[in-house]
Amino acid sequence: MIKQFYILLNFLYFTIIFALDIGIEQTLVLHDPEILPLNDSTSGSNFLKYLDSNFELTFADYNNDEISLFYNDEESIRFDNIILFPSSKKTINNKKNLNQHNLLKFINLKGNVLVIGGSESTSLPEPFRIWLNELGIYPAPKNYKYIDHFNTKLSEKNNLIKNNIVDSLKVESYDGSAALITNNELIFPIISSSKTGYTNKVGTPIDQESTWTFGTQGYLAVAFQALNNARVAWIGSIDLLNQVEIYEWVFQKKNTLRLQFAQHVNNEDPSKINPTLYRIKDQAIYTIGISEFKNGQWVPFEIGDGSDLTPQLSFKMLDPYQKLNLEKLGKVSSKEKGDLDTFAYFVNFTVPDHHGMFTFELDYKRHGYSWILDKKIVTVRHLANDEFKRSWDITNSWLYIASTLLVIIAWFLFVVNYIYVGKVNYKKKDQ
Amino acid sequence: MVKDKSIAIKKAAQAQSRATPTTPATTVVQPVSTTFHELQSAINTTFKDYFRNLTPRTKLIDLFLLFLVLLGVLQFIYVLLIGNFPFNAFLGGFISCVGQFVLLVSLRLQINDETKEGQVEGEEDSKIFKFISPERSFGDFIFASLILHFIVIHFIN
Amino acid sequence: MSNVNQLTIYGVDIQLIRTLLKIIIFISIAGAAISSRLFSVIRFEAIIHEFDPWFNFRATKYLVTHSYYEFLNWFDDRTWYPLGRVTGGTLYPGLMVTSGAIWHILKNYFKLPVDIRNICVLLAPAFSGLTAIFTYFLTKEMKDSSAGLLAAIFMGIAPGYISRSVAGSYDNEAIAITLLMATFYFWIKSMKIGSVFYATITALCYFYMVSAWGGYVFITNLIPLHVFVLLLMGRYNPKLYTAYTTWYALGTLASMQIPFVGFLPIRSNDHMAALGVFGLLQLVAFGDYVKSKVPNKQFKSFLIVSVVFVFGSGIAALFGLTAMGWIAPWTGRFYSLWDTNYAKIHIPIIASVSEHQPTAWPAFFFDTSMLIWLFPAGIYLCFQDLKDEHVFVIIYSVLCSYFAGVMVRLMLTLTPVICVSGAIALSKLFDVYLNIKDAFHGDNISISKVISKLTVLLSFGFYLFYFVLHCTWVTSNAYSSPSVVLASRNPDGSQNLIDDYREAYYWLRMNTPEDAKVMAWWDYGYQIGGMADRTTLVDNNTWNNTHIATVGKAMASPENVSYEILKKHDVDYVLVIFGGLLGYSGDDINKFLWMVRIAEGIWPDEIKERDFFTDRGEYKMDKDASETMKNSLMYKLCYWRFSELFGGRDGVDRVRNQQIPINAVPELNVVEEAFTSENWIVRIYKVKDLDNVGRDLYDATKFENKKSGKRNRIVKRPKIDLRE
Repeated sequence: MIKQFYILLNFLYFTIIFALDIGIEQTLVLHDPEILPLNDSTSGSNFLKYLDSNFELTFADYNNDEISLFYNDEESIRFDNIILFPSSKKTINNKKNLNQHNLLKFINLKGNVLVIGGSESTSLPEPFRIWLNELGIYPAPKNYKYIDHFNTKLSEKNNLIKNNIVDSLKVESYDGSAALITNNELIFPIISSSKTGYTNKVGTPIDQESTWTFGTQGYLAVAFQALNNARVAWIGSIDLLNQVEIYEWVFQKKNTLRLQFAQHVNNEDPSKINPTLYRIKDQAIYTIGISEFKNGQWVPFEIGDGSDLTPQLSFKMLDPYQKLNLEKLGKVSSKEKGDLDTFAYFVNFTVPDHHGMFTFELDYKRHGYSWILDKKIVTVRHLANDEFKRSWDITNSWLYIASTLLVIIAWFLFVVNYIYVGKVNYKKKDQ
Repeated sequence: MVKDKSIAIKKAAQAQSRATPTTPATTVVQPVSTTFHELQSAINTTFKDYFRNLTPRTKLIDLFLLFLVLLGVLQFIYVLLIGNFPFNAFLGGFISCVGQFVLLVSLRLQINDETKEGQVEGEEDSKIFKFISPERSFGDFIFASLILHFIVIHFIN
Repeated sequence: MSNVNQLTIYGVDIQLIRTLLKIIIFISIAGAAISSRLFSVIRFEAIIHEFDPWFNFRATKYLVTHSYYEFLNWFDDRTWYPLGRVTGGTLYPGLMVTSGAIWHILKNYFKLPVDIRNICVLLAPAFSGLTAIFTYFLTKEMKDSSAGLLAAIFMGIAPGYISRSVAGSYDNEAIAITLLMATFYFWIKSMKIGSVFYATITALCYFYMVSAWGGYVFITNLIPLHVFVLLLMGRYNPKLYTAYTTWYALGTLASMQIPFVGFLPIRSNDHMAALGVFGLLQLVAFGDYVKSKVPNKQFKSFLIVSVVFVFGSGIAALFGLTAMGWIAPWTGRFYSLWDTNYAKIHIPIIASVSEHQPTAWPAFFFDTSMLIWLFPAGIYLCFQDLKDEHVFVIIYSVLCSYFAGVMVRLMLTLTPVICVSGAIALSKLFDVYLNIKDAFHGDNISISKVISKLTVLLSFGFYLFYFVLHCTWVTSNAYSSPSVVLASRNPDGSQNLIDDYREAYYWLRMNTPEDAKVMAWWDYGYQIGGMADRTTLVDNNTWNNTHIATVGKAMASPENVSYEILKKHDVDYVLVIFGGLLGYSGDDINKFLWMVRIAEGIWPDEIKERDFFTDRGEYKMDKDASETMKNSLMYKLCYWRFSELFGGRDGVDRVRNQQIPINAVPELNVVEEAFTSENWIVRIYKVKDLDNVGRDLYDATKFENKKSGKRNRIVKRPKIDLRE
């Protein structure tokens, strides 16, 4: 079985290495040919089968000089995904192309990476480790091993952290390492060490110097999603490859969302989409449509009532003036005459009584799902001089208006009379 | 404003009358009471004089003045009772009264000046408004009033 | 005069010749006034100057491209981001409406489609011609037409007024001074003859003035003061009543039609004097009426009682209403008029404006030349005559002399009265000494008399000539620079134009997205809005101190603090003015302390002025500069890569004459350089996006810079903030 796999691997390596097909996603698998990366044959082969059926694969060893992550323009990536198997060596030859900076750039250009941690004698080559450190993941170095004398198998109770990716854990034995992680908000752990687990340098007694992790500060599987939704996962052992959801998630096959549209209208003029100008106290309606990628196509992303996944809109100027949960509207189609591939949410609210430049901000950050960020800046203006309540609409002011009119009428009468009286005067004078 | 005046006088009179009995020394009472006395006679003379000099025109003017004062007072009381919510409307109404009032007073002064001259009092400045004939003053009055009314209407809305 | 009427010269009525001459003189005065203001157009080009005019220009453009209605309700979403500005309700529309009206008239009636920019540029000179004419009329009321003509020519070319009205100086003052003179003229006129008509005209002029300039408060207080002083002098007469009450009732009502002024005339203390005098005048009029009817003695007692009562209740009402908040207390600018230190202590934003600094003494001579010493003579002559109108001039001059001493920019309101009284003095002098008839009239022609007269006349003739030279020189050298374009001399004497501002603003206009937000100190807000057409955070309309302090804080803080502010306000670009390379002293480093002070006013715990000085209390940028200074965003933006220009040696800041060390180059993490103008005066930086992988930007920059650096092997447990 293992041998077969190896032959297959080599075969693929020679035939498909530079095969390019726009339609099919490209995946690069980096491994160390000196050690067979797959100790656990069942999980490993399932994984490779999955890869083979979903992607155009490129296999290369870490020293292969011909591997480059980018096309010649340096602005687009050659592969959609990279899978890193552990290696026995710390250094690699192809440092020109495979270094921490290029890997970071790879993520910044929306590439996904699955990193598989090694056990005692294997680890990641140096550049990859530095790169992981930049993300905030610090796997134990070579010669370190995760040990838990009390629980040999991983269990949901002891190890699984509540998350949106994996909901059941079934690992009979774990042979690998653990990682420390920083407070980077983009990281979210999936499987942690148990309270009794620790990572220690193999063959040395436990002390402050030689341990990497103690108890629950160590993590066995960690997911990371960059702001541009590029995904990275680090798993501490090849044993975790039987958790299918993790790598499906990395390859954007699971929990991948897309904001199909986000628009707002003024209730008074709903035909005009995304107006730039509102007036204070106007009624605004904000609508979004979200799709989820499932089994190769976009389907509506519907959330159960009261779920904490419900998207929120904040209407803010420096600080949020309104923070509203969106309500479900129903399935719609993102294109004209298309399938019902989107689920629409909406909210109806009153623009605050404050003028300024406000932002409709949809900042959807739920760990495990694609980030969605949409900002639309609008101007909220004050009432124009003729939009205030008119004096004659206010009963209080009727008296004033009446008095003004009275003054004017009286003035008119006065002028007429004055002239008349004046004439009388002159007549008298004449007489 | 005349309203203020009359109230002022009344108040002053009351104050004086209240003060009178409490002051023990007659030397003090004397001037205070004379002051009060003189005040009364002053008011009396003024009134008499006023009715003596009344021409139909000034009568008309004074009637209008009285009307404006009443209207102004009414609005002022109203605003104290109701609160000044449509402030611009109140101001418009009130200032239209005040403005019309001062314009009228100006007119009256100018016309009175003319009549005084007719009587030849022989005072040092026989005619204050030398450049202004009554016709012109009336024309000015109409001009200013029109502007006043226009602005007030604009102000109210 | 009356018998002169019959005189004819060559069969032409002498009166006609007089009129004709007068008209010619007027035209030439107006011509002189206008042409001396055109230096800047000839030397540079027809562009808008300074800072405020750029806003006025932008507003005018808005007015002519939109309707008046839209202008009135203009909500400007391109300034004060993200607060916006209710521009229509917070500006004095007089200036824009005037030029808008001229533009429409030229276009519709004369079929002359003129670029609105040219109208804006030339509006101030055109109005200065009118000012000269109104000054003539005003002075004529004071003395006679010869004094009037002198005053007109003085007014036409006095540098104190030119400083605010050269071509391109499209500011409110440009028309406001004209209106000031017009209002005063009509006031004097109506007060003299007691005409309701003239008083109405005064009120209308006053309304126009209110619509054009915040300085209208000056009139609002000066006229009541005049009336009040006349009352104290026992000079009440019905004419005064007629003129004042008509003016006040109509003027106040009309002024409330300007949205920006609103209910201020009856609410704010600045306007209370006028109301008080109005009330007082009613009482006095009534008293006067009573007085004319009753015997003197009775009247006296009547008077005492009423005066005591009225004063008591009046003062009580004023205090009561202020305490209850019905009347707004005096504004900060007003306080700073009385106590020059008030602003420095309480309102740094007012003190930071150079126009609000006290005037230096030489400025008086510089701006008015010989008029400054003729001015007291004129006032003295007014005292000698002391008619009602002279009282006005005296009050005006006393008040304005004080104000001009306190604030540089009020020199402007002083200039007219200096011209008027200077002209009175000079014309009096000429009346005496030009009276040649007198000299030849006597039986024996006294040689000494003639010689003394001649000496005086010639010397004054010389003074006048010198005055003209001085004015021209001052105008061409000091007041004709648009300050947008700087002029300097090359070593060979040829002129070198430094056009960095426009270069940079043009870059912004062409290379940044239309909705980009630019953060700069407020001085440049109007220019960025006008020339680059980009959204700004703060501008010269300093209505929101907190917002300005926010910008000050962003400039004065270390990068990470600044970055939060920048991101919160959606800032895309940061612009700083740096004069260190060229020796341009009006740059941001020199204004920096004001930013610090204003920010300190709001966040005294985070920004401390003391930290920006060296231990010895010096304001230094060189190697001794304090850490806070070196870490501040402003320092970094100004000196970023500055030393590299000097080929390995320390950089030299030519404004402060300090060495900028080459080995302590400031590092930039949160912004990156986008543009630096030719002479480095304007530097524009782009604000970086949030790091895609969630690092802070310091770490990101460190990582980027390590590209070719040594390899580091981390095998030790990292010392970082770990998630437990």
